[in-house]
Amino acid sequence: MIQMYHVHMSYGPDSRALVDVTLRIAKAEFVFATGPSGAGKTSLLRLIMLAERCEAGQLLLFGQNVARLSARQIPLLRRRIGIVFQDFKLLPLRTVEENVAVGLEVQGKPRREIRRRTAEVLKLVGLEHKARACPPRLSGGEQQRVAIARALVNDPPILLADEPTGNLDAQLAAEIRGLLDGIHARGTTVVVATHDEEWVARTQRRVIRLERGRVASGGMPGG
Amino acid sequence: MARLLYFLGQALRHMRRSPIVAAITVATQAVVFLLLGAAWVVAHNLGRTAERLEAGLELSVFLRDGADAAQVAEVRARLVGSGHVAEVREVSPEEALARFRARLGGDAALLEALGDNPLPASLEVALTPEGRTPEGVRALAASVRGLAAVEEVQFGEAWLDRLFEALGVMRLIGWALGGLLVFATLLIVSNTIRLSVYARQEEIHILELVGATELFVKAPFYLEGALLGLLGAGLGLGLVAGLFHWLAAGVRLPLGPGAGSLPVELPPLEALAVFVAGGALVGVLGTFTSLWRHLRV
Repeated sequence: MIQMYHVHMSYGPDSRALVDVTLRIAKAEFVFATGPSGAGKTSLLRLIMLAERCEAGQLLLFGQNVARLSARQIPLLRRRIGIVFQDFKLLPLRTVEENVAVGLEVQGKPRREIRRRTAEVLKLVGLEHKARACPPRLSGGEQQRVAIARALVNDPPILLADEPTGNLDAQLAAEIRGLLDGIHARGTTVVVATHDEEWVARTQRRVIRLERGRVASGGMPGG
Repeated sequence: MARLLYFLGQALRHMRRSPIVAAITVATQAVVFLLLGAAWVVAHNLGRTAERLEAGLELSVFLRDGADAAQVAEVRARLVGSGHVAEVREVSPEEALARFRARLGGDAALLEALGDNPLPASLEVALTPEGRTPEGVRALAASVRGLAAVEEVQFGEAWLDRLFEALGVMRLIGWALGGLLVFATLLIVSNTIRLSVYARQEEIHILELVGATELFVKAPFYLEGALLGLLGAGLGLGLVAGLFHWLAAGVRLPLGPGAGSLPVELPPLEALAVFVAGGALVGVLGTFTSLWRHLRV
């Protein structure tokens, strides 16, 4: 599903983000990316969500070499990847359902379908009763659930989550963890960048450990 | 269609979020289009007057007493051969006198004092539309002036020449000033859209990450620019029309002695529509320059 071969990426000459990263994430896998701050977890996710380009090496998504994609193909590929951020990245002046619907609107889906699908995912994350509220009026946990609903509305094969529990207290974090487990159980490939050692230890899932931009361990399935 | 409505909704949403910036943009554009529109109304009416005068432009070739038929035929042939002559009509001294008498009206008795008819025979030359320019008429006059049968050639008066010149200069100044003003509005719209883009950086980023195409991100900005331009130009022209009816309705432009006058008018509606569309185009161009510099998708 996601393959990287000797990938290098930097944010400038003195700021190397990823160094010679080789890894593979299989379909329907749930993988953690861990490591200290600045290790390259977020950069890894940004590469996969096509917000950055690698300088050297190759990234394959769904078997396609990303370097060979035209500018027109990139948005189409992004629609197959759901993204959840630590800071939610919701539009504060739009309602919950408008925030969720945006993923379908960009595809020009018919109104009826947008309404139906938006209601479905809001029910899935338990927020159907808050559809008309605007994000600033919701709790952190609720906002994160809206972000997850937005990420899921296209039914993407891959879900990326960058510190999804980072801003939440223990109880809300547990809710979000449960939600991500449920999404994984439906066959979605989930990649979570996190500092949450307890979560990582408890689940016995593969951990890709990054240190100073390099893969320290866990780059390959079963490895 | 649904998509267009969606983009339009987004554009209106942009404008509602920063109504003061939108209002200032529209007002500035309205002022510019008011100035352009007013200049246009003046140019349009002077142009109409000039056209009317031009349409009446003809040449009178006065013939020498005693010129024989062959000599007159030569003049006629030279005129017709120029290709700019629609008709040549011979006016006898008697006909000329009768016309003069009619024009004098009540004072015709004065003519009795003259005794013999002092008026010469002449050729009245009506020109084709292409020939009705000051240069064309001048060239035609020069071509017959030296001929044996020709006593004198008269054509359009000197002030008409000056009117054409003034009109030409006015048009030039109008285009130059208009160009500058349009450029200024383009910059204003461009700046408004830039602010709009900056205010929506986060939104644009989110749209990109959920798979929005370049068109999807940019279309609402283009519509916003077009709407601002359309509103500004519409308002400006509305003011022109209002001021015209208030100040200029019923004013007539004189066409010279004995030729009556022409009522001033607004340019035709289709032309005004093109003008307003021009406003929208300025908005779109302003958006284009802004997005080109400030929004990379």
